[in-house]
Amino acid sequence: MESIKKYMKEIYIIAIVASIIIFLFAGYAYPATADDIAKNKAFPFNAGGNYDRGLMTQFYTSLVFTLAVLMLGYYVNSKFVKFGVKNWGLFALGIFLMFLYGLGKIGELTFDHGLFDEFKDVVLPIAFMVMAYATHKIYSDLKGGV
Amino acid sequence: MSISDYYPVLSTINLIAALVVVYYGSKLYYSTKGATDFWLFLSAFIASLGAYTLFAFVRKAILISYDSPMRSAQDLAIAFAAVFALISAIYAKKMFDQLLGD
Repeated sequence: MESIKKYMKEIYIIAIVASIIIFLFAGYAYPATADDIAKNKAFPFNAGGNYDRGLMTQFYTSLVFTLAVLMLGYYVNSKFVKFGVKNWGLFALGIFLMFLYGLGKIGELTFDHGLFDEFKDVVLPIAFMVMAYATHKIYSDLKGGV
Repeated sequence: MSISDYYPVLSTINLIAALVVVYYGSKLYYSTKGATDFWLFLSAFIASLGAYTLFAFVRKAILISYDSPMRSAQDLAIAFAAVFALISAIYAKKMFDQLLGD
């Protein structure tokens, strides 16, 4: 376990690149169904085929959010997890799940497929629960004088 | 039956878990006597995401006719979450550098 922790920064980068590739692949492998097209949410056009500023804003905020979470995950992995601070691996997993949520949001607006919408709806509660448990563990350890 | 049918349940779980993170985040912040601002901004990041899920819940379950304002509020909440995540990242680095005594 200790030897894995030393390479957490590299593992995190590989996991991020692999996730992006899987999302791009999923986007092309599962094109929008007729039902998806009817409910069209892909930017920058709405279901009526008109330019929708709201969808454009959603896309860019999702992009910025995903990049910001990526940075947070990078520093948590390259500092706390790499140097083996207790319970931070779990916390980093929560951050990584948040990143996947961001990818799901981008995928939903780019590929117009319900698959991404459902993925992000499922991954966010898991991410929140993992982070809630991790902060609880970190706080318990801190109070215990570790 | 798609997952979006369970959205009220999922957003309630999101909100409760977000509140737990904010609670422990703020406790960690105060237990370090405010020395580690990382926890403060991390709590703000999670609180913004909690607000995002709250707006999503309100939009889908209660105020359906206020779709556009709620979507704008969600965009604003996630933009704030992004800003707080970046500040948390900076403080995570700073906090560890201080721990190492750099």
